[in-house]
Amino acid sequence: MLDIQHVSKSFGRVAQPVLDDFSLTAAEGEFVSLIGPSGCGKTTLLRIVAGLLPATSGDVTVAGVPSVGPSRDKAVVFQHFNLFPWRTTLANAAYGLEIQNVPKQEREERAMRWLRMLGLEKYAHHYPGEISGGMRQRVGIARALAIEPKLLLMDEPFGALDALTREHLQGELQKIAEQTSLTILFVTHSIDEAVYLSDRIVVMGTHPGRIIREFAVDLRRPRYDYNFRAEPEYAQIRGEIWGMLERELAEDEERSDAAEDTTPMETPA
Amino acid sequence: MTPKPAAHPGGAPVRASALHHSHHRATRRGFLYTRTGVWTVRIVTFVILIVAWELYASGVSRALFAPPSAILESIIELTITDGTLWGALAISIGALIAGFGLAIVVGVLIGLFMGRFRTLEYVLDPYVSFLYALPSIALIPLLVIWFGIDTELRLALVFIAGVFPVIINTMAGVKNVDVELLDVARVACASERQVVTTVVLPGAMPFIFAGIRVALSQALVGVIVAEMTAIITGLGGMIIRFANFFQTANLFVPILAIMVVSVALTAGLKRLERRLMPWDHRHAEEGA
Ligand SMILES: Nc1ncnc2c1ncn2[C@@H]1O[C@H](COP(=O)(O)OP(=O)(O)OP(=O)(O)O)[C@@H](O)[C@H]1O
Ligand SMILES: [Mg+2]
Repeated sequence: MLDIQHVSKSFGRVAQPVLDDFSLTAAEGEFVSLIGPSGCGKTTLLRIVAGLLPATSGDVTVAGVPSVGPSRDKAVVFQHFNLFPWRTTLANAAYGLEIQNVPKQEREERAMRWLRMLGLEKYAHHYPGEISGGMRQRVGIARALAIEPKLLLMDEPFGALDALTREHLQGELQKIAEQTSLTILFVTHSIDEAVYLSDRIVVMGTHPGRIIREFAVDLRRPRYDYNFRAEPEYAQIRGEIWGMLERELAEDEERSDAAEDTTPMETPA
Repeated sequence: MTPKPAAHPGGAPVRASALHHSHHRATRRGFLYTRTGVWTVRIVTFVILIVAWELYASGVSRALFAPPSAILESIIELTITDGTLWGALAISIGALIAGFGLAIVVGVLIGLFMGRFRTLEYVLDPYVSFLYALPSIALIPLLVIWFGIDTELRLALVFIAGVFPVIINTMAGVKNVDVELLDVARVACASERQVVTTVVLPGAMPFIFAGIRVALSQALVGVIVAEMTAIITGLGGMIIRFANFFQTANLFVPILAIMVVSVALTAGLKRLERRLMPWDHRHAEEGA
């Protein structure tokens, strides 16, 4: 479904590539998480897959079609929600369909279905400035899902939310993933979140951004139904990823003793 | 894109809290801080001012200073008895609206293109910056040579006075549009036209309105000065004619009319702004 082959990316004259020969595939319906230190190129990779940024070399294929720019079978949920402040919840959720020239009534019905599913129907006519952060990200998710994409790209979608709201939305996302055949590429900083949600976790290293290792998560689904954190596999994966990231950070520090550009960048323009 | 201000959900709670706020102050600091208190003070001081003015002005020559009673007589004469104010008002407002409207349309379009296409910005920016810096009334003699002493002269002056603030602010607004929101449009596969209508223009709206507000005051100055110096017509012409004959009481009437026009147009603009940007909570907090 998603096929990333040998993707490299360099910015400007900087010698070291941000991403170096990155390859990853995801089957239809698979939930793959990317986890790695800040600045390892997760957002960059996601933007390349979304078609917002050209790769320096390598290919991305989505559903068998080479992906060079934005397309209708891909949708993005952004870290900072990126809702239009001048649009109501409903108009925000219907945005993608509006761009596709779907007639007003039909697109509002389709958007409304997702809003209902995410518990937002009461807030359909509120502006983003009038709803909470958790609701805003739900609108962001509804907007992405309303166009019925095949591939959903999520860049730390719950990073800006409080723990309780985050846990709640993780559960909702899991339900949606179960009910659809969506393929999801999910960037996160949280090992716990990655284990909770993913079929597969890709651990990335930095300078240059690359895959260190992949983990399959075989915990029983649905995971919101039981205390998956009590399972021995949870502790084991968590421990391994944790150790791996710590080692990577230590090695990276040694490598960049001479270099000084370790400042992370939240939102590359 | 079709928000109904009547259904504006944020309006009610904000206004309620504003009321609560003033009520709170009132109980703490007394009568002067209530709404009735403020108006009582305003009316009392106004009456004192008028009476003092009347007493003082009745002691000096009518040609130098007119008492309020004489001004009131002039108002009645110019608005009802012979009604000459209305003709002048129509002339001035006509020129203002036409030139100002044209300035908004052209200014928003040019500003939009300059903000979206860097080459165009590089080419046009020096001209725009220099013409913006020039007080437009300095152009009156030149415009008289080009257009003669006619309506077009005022139109041109109002247009020039208004168009540059609109261009500059629109361009700033367009360039200031949140790149993260542009990303949303791009992943949705929006065309350039859709990007402009769904992201750039709504995002630049507060800037555009700031430009329009500046343009309005500049345009008003433009009309009146053109009418006072080049073509003696409209409200500006009225001022000059009354002044030349030392009809001081009459002189106050067009001045008052200009004030009323200016305040009314500014208020109208504010209403329009609130209508077009119901999501913008700054208005609600100001308290109507
Ligand atoms: N437009 C750009 N121009 C130059 N360098 C960039 C640009 N965008 C990103 N980078 C660099 O690429 C590297 C990876 O950035 P990226 O945002 O992809 O990291 P990330 O893994 O998403 O980090 P975080 O977890 O902090 O979000 C950083 O070192 C950053 O400085
Ligand atoms: Mg990132």
